[in-house]
Amino acid sequence: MPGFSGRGCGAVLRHCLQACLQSAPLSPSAGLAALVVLLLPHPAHAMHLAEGLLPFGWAAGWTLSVLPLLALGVTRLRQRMAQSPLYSPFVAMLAAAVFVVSCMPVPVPIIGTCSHPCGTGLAAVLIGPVMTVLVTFVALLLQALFLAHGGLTTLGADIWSMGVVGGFVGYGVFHALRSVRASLGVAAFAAGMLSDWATYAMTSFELASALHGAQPLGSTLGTLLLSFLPTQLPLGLLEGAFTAGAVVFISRRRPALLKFHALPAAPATP
Amino acid sequence: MSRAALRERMVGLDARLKLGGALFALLVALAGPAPYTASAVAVLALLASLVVGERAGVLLRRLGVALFSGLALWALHGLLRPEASGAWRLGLVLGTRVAAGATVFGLLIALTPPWALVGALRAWRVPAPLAEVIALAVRYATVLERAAHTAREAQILRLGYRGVRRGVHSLGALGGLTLVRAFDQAHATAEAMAARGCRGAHLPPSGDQS
Repeated sequence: MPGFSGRGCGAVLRHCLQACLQSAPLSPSAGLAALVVLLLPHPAHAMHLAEGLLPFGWAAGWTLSVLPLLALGVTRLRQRMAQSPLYSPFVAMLAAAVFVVSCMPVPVPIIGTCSHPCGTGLAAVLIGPVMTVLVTFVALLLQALFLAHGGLTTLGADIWSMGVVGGFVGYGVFHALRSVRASLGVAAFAAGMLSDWATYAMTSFELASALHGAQPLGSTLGTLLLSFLPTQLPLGLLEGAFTAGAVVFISRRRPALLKFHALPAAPATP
Repeated sequence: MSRAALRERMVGLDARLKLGGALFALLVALAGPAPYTASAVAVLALLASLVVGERAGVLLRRLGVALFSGLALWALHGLLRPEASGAWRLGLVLGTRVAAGATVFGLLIALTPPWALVGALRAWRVPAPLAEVIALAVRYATVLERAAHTAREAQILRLGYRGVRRGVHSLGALGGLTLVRAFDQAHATAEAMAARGCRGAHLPPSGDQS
């Protein structure tokens, strides 16, 4: 975003590097490699695990474990479609919107990297967490097949982080805050932000569990979380602001959409 | 046979065959003895890409992701336990796997139109409601992308991204506007389909190559 200052994040990055240096004696080659990796300008696919990143067993495990949720989503979709033929176009449109929203480049103020919002927190607020899993599957599948963004063998893990964890956290936080009479903007901001951070935490766990090798899982996870921090901390705040802005905008223009997941059928045209 | 003719012939192949082949190659790269199998798959896919006329710059960009992933894993293990050896091998294994994934996937996308891939999914007995949602989402993704782009351009013209506060506000409004347009478009589509007698069957024929 033009005008966004990178000084705060630079300080976070320096802090992280100092923490790393203090916690472990760093060999010169590893230090050089860490520096190169941190300074390399690269396209950030922070929320999507690239094809080939997970070993076979882990990729299969994440994919198989997400199938029941997808099946539940398909069952609900079928039920809603039986109630209203308008439902499937709405869900498809939301999937396309998540696809588009997550393709929007949001410059993250760290060494020229660019990332994107997820949109799953927003989707969960609008259509509920189970359908968000389905919407995430469709959006990720299209991104994989159209743009090679993410992958097919990592699709299950990506659905877990974005759709399941991101969706359920976003939905839970939004409704918990609304139940204690938080304003719409605040609840949506928290939902978007925490959904984003939960997604990145889950992504870190997926990476750490698959790639920790002989290292303890905890230390690998901690290092991954720390290394994601400079990018994801501001991105989570941006995602929160994005979700809050979108929800407030929708509440002014189409308030019926905010109760969409509770409706048995799509809202009627005026 | 010229490269163009070969490419045309490959594009015309059944999408189910290409998708199945790509998935098989990806699984072999992941399950085979590392890093040799993944390297072999990456090299074969790279050569195939060059044969069908893929640009070298595009291929190098794909391999850049693999290089980055390998370096990142090497650095991560080096940071955690600099006294232990084998960090470079872990980085190599991951780098070759990601290289295999990127090249195979790139080749698949270069040779298969998106519609054909959706048709292949339909032919693979994906549940009908899900296939319908996928087909509709494909149709409207580009429309929405254009709508979001137009809205963003308009915001920029109105100095919507001047300053952090305004920029964040504009980003939220852009998301909201995109979604509202999405719902409006969906509603119009569903009504138009219903008016033509359509009762939920919005699917493309399986194997649709158009």
